[in-house]
Order: sequence, then C-alpha cells, then structure tokens
Amino acid sequence: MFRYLAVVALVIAGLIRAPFLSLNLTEVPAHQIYYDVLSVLQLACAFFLLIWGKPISAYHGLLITATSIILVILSMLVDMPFTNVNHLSSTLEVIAVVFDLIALILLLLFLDKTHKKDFWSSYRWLSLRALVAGGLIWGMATVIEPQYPQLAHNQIDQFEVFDQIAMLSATDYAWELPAGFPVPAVPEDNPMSEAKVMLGRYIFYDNALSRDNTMSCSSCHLQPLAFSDGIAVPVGVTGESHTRNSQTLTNVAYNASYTWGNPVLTQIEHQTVIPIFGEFPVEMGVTGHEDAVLARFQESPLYQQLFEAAFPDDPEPISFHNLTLALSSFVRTMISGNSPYDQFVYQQNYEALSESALRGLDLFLSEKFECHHCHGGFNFSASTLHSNTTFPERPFFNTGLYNIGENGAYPRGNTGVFEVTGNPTDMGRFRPPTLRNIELTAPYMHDGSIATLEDVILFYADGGRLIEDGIYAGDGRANPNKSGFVPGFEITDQEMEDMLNFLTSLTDETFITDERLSNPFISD
Amino acid sequence: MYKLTVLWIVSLLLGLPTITQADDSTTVDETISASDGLTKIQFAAYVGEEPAICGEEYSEIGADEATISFNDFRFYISNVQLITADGEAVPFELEQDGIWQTSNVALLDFEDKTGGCDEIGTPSYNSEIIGTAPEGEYTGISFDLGVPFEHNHMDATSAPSPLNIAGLWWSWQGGYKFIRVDLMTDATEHSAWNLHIGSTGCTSPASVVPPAERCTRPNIATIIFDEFDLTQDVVIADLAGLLSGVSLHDNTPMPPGCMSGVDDPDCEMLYPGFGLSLETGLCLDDDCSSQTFFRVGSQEEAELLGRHTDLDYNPSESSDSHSGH
Repeated sequence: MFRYLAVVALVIAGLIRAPFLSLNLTEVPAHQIYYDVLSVLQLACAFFLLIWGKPISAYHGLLITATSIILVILSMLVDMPFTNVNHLSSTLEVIAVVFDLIALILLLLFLDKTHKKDFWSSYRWLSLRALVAGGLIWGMATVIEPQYPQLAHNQIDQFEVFDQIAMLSATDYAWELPAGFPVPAVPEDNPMSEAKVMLGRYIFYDNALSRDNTMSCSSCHLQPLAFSDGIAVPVGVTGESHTRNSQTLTNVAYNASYTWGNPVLTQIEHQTVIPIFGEFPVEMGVTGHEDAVLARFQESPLYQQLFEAAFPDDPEPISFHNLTLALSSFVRTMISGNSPYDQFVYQQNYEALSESALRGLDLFLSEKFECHHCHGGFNFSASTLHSNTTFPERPFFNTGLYNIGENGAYPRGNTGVFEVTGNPTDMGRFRPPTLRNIELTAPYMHDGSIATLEDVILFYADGGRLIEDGIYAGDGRANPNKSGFVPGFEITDQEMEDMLNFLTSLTDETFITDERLSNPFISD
Repeated sequence: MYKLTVLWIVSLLLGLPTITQADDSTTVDETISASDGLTKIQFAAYVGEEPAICGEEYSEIGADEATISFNDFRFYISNVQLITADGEAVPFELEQDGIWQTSNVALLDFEDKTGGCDEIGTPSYNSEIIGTAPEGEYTGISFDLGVPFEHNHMDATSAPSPLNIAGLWWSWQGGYKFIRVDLMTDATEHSAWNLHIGSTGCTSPASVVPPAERCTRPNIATIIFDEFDLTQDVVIADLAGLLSGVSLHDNTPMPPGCMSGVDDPDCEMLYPGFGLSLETGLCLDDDCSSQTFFRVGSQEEAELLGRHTDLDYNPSESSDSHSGH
C-alpha cells in the first residue's frame, strides 16, 4: 500500500518538475537543469518501485527526493548562489515540494515496514553515493552551461572587477556610433559616463532589483532576442500578466517617446522607474519593499564600488534615483547599426543585400505599401529623436487592430494614447516601434497578438484586422480612428518574400552578441 | 524638451538685432549686425476664404464639392527672388537660422499638432521667411515650391534643419516631400487623401543611394507674382485653389491621394493646381503661371489666421507672449 502511494507521489512531483511541463525556472537555469535531472530520476525510481518493488529503488527515491527539500532549505538559508531563487514563490513548486515530503514519508514507512533490516544496514553507503551523484550533477551543469547566472555568481573575480571599476571615468563617455548614425540626445541632468554605463549594466542583469529576487530587467529583455522576450505579454513577480508586449530595447536612445502609448513620457529616466515600481500591473514589484531592495545594493561590496565610481560627488550614492540614472545610461548604449542593411547603406558593402531584399526595400519605401510613413528614417520609426532634431516628431497611430462593437473601441485597459489623454480620437493609438531586429522580436503589436512577421504584413495588406467572434469581435479595418496610412494593399507571393527578406536584413548579429551589452555576472 | 526651449530662446535672440550672441555662429552675427535691412516675407494658409486650421472642416472643396479637413500642411520653398520694376530678379538671401532656413531653402509649416494634426504633426508653426536683399525698390517676388536638386538627396538624419525632418523625406533616391498635405474627406470609402509631391524619375543603383543626375521629373513649381508689396502683402497658400480641379470623392487607392505617381489619376487632377505637367514634371507653358495654389493677400488675412511662427506652438498661450519677434 505504502509502495503504491509512494509511486503516485513520486510521479506527481516528478511530472511537475519535468522539462516538458510548465514549471519553468528560466531565470535560474542551473536550478532548471537540476530539476530536469531530478524529475527524470524521480520518475525512474517510481517506475522501478512499481515494477520490482525492491528496497533499492525506494532508497534511491528517498535520497533523490530529499535533495529537492535540501535545495529549498538552502535557498532560504545560504547566500549565493541560492538566495536569488525563491523556490516557494510558485504554486506549482510548492505542490511539488509537498509531494516530495509525502513521498519521503511513504517511502520511509514502506522501507520501515518491509525491509527494516536492509534499510539500516545500507543507509551509510547509499547516502554517500547520493552526495557524490548530486555533486556530479551540479558540476556537470557548471561545465555544460557556464554562462548561467546562478553558477556565474560564484565565478566573478571581484578583485579583477574592482580594478576595472577604478579605471572608469565618472565624467567621460565616448560614443562608438555606427556609420551614418547621429549622436543621441542625452538629457542635461544625466550625462553619459563610463562608470554609469558599467553600473547600469550590472543593475540591468541583477535579480536583486525585484521584490523577491526573481526578476531583473533582463527577464523581459533578453539580448539574443534583441532585448525582447519572445512571448505575447510578460508576467511580473506576483504572477500578474502585463497587458503590453515587452518592447525591444534596440536604439531606445533615439526614441522620441517611451512605452507603447505615452506622448508625455519622453525620457528613458522616466521610463525605467515604471517596471521597477509599477503597481498596475506589478512588474518587478519594488513598491512597498524599497528599503529591503535598496539594502541589497547598499550591503554589496561590488555595488558600493560601482555607485561610488559612478556618482563620486554624492555622499550617499546608492539611491533609487542614481540607480535609475545609471540604468538609463546603460540602456542608451544599446545601439544597433551593423545589420546587412547598414552594411549596404552606410558601409558601401553592396554585397550585403540580396536582390530580393533590395526589391523588398523598394516596396517598403513605395507609396504602394506605405510602410515608411510610420517606420521611416534611419531608425525605421517616425517617432525618432536625436541631437540633430529640431522638430521632434512623436506620432502615434491606430492601425485597425481592434474595433470592438464597431465603435472604435480597443480592449479595456489597453487603449493606447487614450489612457493618457482621454481624447476619443486617441483610442487605439500606439507608438510605431523601430523595425530594426524585427525578426527577433516576435510576437508583434502592442499586445503581442500577431505571431509572425508574415502575418503582420498580411494584417497591413488587409488594412486592419477583422475579429469575427469573441469578446473582441469587430472589424478593425473600419475603425473610425484608423490612420490614413493603413488603407490596405495587394501583395503577391514574390512581394511577400521580398518584404520578409528586407525586414530580416535589419537583424544585427553584432548587437545581439555584443559583450558590452551582455550579462556582467558571467566571466568570459 | 530643454533642447526645444534653447532653440526657441535662440530664435528669439536672433530676432533682436541689438543683442550680440556669445555662441560660435559668427555668420549669423554678421548677418544680424549688418541687417537693419532684414526683411520678413509673410505667408498664410487658407482654404478658400477661410483660414486653414488643423482639424477644421471646409465644405465644397474641389470639382465634386467634397468636405475636407487636413492633418498635415507643410512645404519647402527655395530660390526666393525679389523682382525690381525693371524686371530684374535679385536673390533674397535667407538668414541661416539653424531652424527654419538653410542655404536657400525654407520650411513653411501650417500645422501645429493641434486638432486633426495630432497624429503626425509637430508642435511648431512657421508662416514667414526672413532674409536680406540689396537696397532697392522691389515690385514683385518669385520662389520655387520644392527643394533644389543640390539639397534634395541628402541624408535627412544628418542634414541641417529644416531638411532633417523624417516625415518630409522619402529616401536618398527620392529626396524630400516638397509639400505634404494629408486630407480627410467625406468620401464613404478611401477617405484619406494624402498629397506628397517631390521629384520622380530619380535613378540610382538603389533607393538608398542618392542619384548622380537630376531627376527626370523635378516637380518643382516656380511661382511668380509681378505685383507684390513686401511691406503690405502676404503670400497665401490656398488649399481650395490647389484642389479646385480634383474630384476628391474619386480617390484611387494605392496610394490614397497623390504621391507624385506619374500614372496616378489623382495626380492628373491635382497637378494643374501647381501649374505643373504630371508627364514632364516641369511648368506648364514654361512658367507655372496657371497655378491656383498661391495668391497675393493682405496683412489682415494673415492676422485672421491667428497663428504665428513658433517652435513650440501652444494654443492655450496668448499670442502676445511671442510678439517679441
């Protein structure tokens, strides 16, 4: 009886952790690897226990399951590398741990009842074997995936980093701009400096900047995806979903406005506080936990050095104000301008674009497809600003994505500029994002509601989106606020291929592999 | 926004001849110190007899009496000349203000991001050009609607203001939109009617490469007024006049309106309004005199407009606060 109940408990705990199911510790990949292995072992033990019912299967099940409990206890008690992971923050994990405990008790009861003698005589060498196995798994993970942050925390050579920090300038910063790119407009009260950029880079990648140590800026802005996250809408520390798609951070230094639909948010410095402190929705959830979060930075020798280097004249440099300034400076350095398109246009490498991509470019600039009216200029966004701008253009467009009830409405709580101005004609107006690295930033639109680039082009060819049923039913093509530049067009298969080839020519490989923008907690 | 404020202050200073600037724009200093003869030529935007204001509706416009409103109304002029009584044309040297005027090109901007212009417009507004001409008696004026070839194929990102506006630029090959007027009409279908005129037939290896030779159809209209009193008259840009031959309800899509397409029926109806031939891109009858877009008006008409040149126009402010220039 205990045997079969133990099998059930092991299977449940194993399945919850199984890599193909939904418990995803993407933020802490080393733990994810550990859980992957754990789930396979738990399921294997359950299998053998069911088939053979021999005590050896039960011993292994017992010890393997115990390691998960040990990991949870470690994550509560021991500092790095465990405290960045709260293993009890997700309901699924709590359930898994509860079933671990149940399995433990049942296995003990099973062994105690049926194999009392074997159990006590085999205990010592078995526990030793389990310890060796656990160590091997951890070691293997370190070797296979050394870039994972939870392992990397151990690997930074702090003295080497301190030496680097000491070399940084607190006043100077030399832009290394791509050919043809203008100097970004930088606010007077937050000039660029090497030290601020370095500090901002550490902050950007540090989970310490969230209520429960589970999220950093990089949770939703991943470098391989051009600092977007590949999902429709992200989820914050409390499990609350955002209504908006995580935007790429490509060239945000040139944004004329920030977020998807806010005409008065015109500085990165004002944007960075939103994910940190925002409550509607909660993203990193620092509001109400300011002292605890700031203390993590104040107590860290690394951050003491970094903040002092970045703000040498400030007697108390470690503050949220300075933190957002540094974060803004770092994000301003995310400049992408070495795509095949750039190589063709600005570096005179006429081999960089295929014939098809060039045809696509002509279509893009044509008055047939009208793309360039909203996505024009060097940054492929009409909402672009730089140091040579005299007339800031901050346009927002309604593209006919929704038309709920045929009166122009967009889904509640996600209405674009209307949320800020209350002006009815601003309903459904959103900022045209840059198309640079667009290949990497799927899914698309402000709410991530279109999955592929091809579907986006078809959406514009239709001149809007018809939603036939459901709560969002309505013909977006007839939205009364729709921009005059989204009238629809006809597109052949060849033209579609050419457009896609042009759009993918905006992908900048050097940007997504640039070490200056990568996770600094990882040693090379 | 601080940058705008600085530019606004600089523009104010430039307008005050007695103040010497401490910055490095020495050429501007010279112009100003020698410029008691600094002359302003006033423009104004109208739709028929009514001042042209963003978002306002105007009825009975064009060949089929459509009702229109506009979302954008900006254009470049260049090569301004004053004409003496003997018919001699004297170049009007534009003040190089770093904002509205560069070289011999100036931007006139009749939208202020209010009303219907809130989608694509800018908060700035400009209805005048400022410059100098040798002392003399002038009885007429001429200018080109457009950007001359030498300045038309620059990189809008790095070009000097006002040639740095992405919304008024196609590409290196295509150059600038000389005039951009985006209309909404009361047509039941295809109600957006956009008017973007620039040179066509510009050839280069790719759209991102500037052409080496002049475009086959420049589409630059030369406007001449033989009788124009600099001290009293204003140049009026009249949308109703421009659109008088256009059936706005017969809007052919792809694109909606006229974007200089040589085979676009919308352009065929529109081009005579500029005095231009759609086929050649040159003036009809060699002088564009058949154009119906510009006319000479009075200072009173300019005042009726209730708008003044301003980098950051705010309708809630009283116009008095900007009377310093």
